[in-house]
Amino acid sequence: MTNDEVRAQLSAYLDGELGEAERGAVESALAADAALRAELAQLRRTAELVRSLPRASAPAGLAPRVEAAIARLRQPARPWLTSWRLAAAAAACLLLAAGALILVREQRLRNIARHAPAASKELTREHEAAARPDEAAGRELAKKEAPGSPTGPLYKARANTAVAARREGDGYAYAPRPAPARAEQPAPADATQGAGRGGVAPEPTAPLVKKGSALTQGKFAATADDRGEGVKAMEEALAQKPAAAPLPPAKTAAVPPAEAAKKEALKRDSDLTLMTPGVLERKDKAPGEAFAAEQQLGAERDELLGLIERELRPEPKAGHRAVGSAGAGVANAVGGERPYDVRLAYTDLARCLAETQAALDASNLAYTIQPIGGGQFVIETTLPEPEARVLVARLIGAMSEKRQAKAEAEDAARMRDVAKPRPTMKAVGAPPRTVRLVLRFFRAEGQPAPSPTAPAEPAQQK
Amino acid sequence: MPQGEVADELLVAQAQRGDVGAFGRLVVRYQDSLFNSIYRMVSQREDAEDLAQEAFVKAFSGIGDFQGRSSFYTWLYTIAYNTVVSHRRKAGSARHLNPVPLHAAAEGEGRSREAEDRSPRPEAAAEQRELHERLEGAIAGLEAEHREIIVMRDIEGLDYQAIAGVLGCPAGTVKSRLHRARLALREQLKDLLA
Repeated sequence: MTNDEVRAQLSAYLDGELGEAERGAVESALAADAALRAELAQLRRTAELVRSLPRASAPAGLAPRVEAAIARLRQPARPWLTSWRLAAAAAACLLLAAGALILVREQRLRNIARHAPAASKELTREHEAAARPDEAAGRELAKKEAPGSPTGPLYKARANTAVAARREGDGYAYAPRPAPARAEQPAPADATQGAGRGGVAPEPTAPLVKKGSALTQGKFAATADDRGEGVKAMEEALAQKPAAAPLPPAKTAAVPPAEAAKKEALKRDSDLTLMTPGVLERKDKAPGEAFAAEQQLGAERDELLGLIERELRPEPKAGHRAVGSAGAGVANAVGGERPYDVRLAYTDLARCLAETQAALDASNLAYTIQPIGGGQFVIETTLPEPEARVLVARLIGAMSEKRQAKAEAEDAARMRDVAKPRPTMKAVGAPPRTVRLVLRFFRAEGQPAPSPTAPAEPAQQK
Repeated sequence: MPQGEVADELLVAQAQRGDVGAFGRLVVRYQDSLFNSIYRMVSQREDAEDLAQEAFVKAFSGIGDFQGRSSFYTWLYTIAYNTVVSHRRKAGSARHLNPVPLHAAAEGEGRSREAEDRSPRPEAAAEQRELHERLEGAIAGLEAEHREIIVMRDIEGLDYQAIAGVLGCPAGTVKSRLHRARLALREQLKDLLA
């Protein structure tokens, strides 16, 4: 055994943990090597020092604490955990869960009941309108209700249809599918039915689904495809131009002929051409194409409305004053020299768009409408400054009733003879400067964006 | 075992039948030894108290598994050692460089100083206290496995076989590890050994 091997055994030798042979070998080495003996002495001294340390006594209360801890450990389970109370608690939880499920289900059914009739009614009306041969009369009635009347159901109804279609895409049958059998009913013999009787003011056709429309050929076509099968089925049925069903009896008051004629004259000379997706520009059109232009105008309005609605976000921009409806208020009014940059808050997108377009159409102006996201859209036009002031005043509702009546009379006169100079634009001395008018629309604060679960327009719920 | 004292085996059997009193007698019998070892391993009196209590409670909870293949104390000591190791892992520290000297902890509790009080002269008592502080510091400065094996052998007096049982390693490992531990401690106390 070498000295290193002996050194490794010194501790065991001290502790008496070596066998007979090993102990003998270590003792022989120790007898022969003083260094080994010195090392052994140091190890022995080290161990003795450690053993000399005083022994620590356990704290006096250790045993009672241990017994108390054991007693707590041995305590039986609390009675209320194992008794009838546990069962009662479980039953209460089950009842709560069942109640919550029932409430959710009722709320869902309530939503369906709230929206389905409105959408169904709208679809029915559009079917009837599509089936009616006297489309011009229906168009007039529709125009009577839509742009000229803030409460007219036309745009609201369309917006509602779009909402219902989106909900359908969510898996809820809010809007019933149109019945194909109805679209194949025979046409009425009397082609003068409808407008001549001052009947319901339905949309004469569904512009969204008009085949050959510029909207169906571009980017918007894909947008329309996203609306759900219910609307697509409706579109197909309407596009087939089926034989008209018997005209239902009149449901609303007759349209004043002068009003209808005014709107018809306004629309006859205008058309909208799709410039780029989402940008509409109006241009003059031959009178013979007024009907197609009217249809396309309505379709593009609907598409624009849908596009804006889809871009709506719940968070409106801060720092603007809420208003009641389009034209009822303005955040920035008319400011600066040029351009006229007007910011308008709206609370009802359908009404806002309808009123604004009606005002622009009444001025016989070329304009563009561009959704810019977040529920905002911008309308731009160029017009003489006095007319811009009148237009803005009309939009923001700052006109007095007398002046409003005067402006409407001027509009009527202008429509009777568009070639004549417009009274509101008649130059006195130097011609008025032309300004660029930028109307920026945004959702008013506190007005939530339409959501798939939000109720539809109140008027549609009736 | 002193005369008139009930054997461990009998108390263990009673404890296994749920007799807390019998187990309490075992606690009283071994609490000082166990506490001393734990204290030397962790070098903190409060930690040692908590760990000792935890070890006893664990022992009672698992006493049904005790089959008598080793002494009750070795079995109990193994539980205490595992409790210390678990505590050390949670604390994340293998060394206790600032141990609380035993006499200081005892004075803080109003307890009598043990070794010092036996010294006849104040100077000798002070020297003894200084030596103990030096020793405690040296032991606390060792690696955990060296400190623990020195405690088991030189403080607790366990033989190599028992230590191997507690550590769960062969006796040869105990021999070599203990020797390395002593060499390390000798280095710490070199000036005292000169």
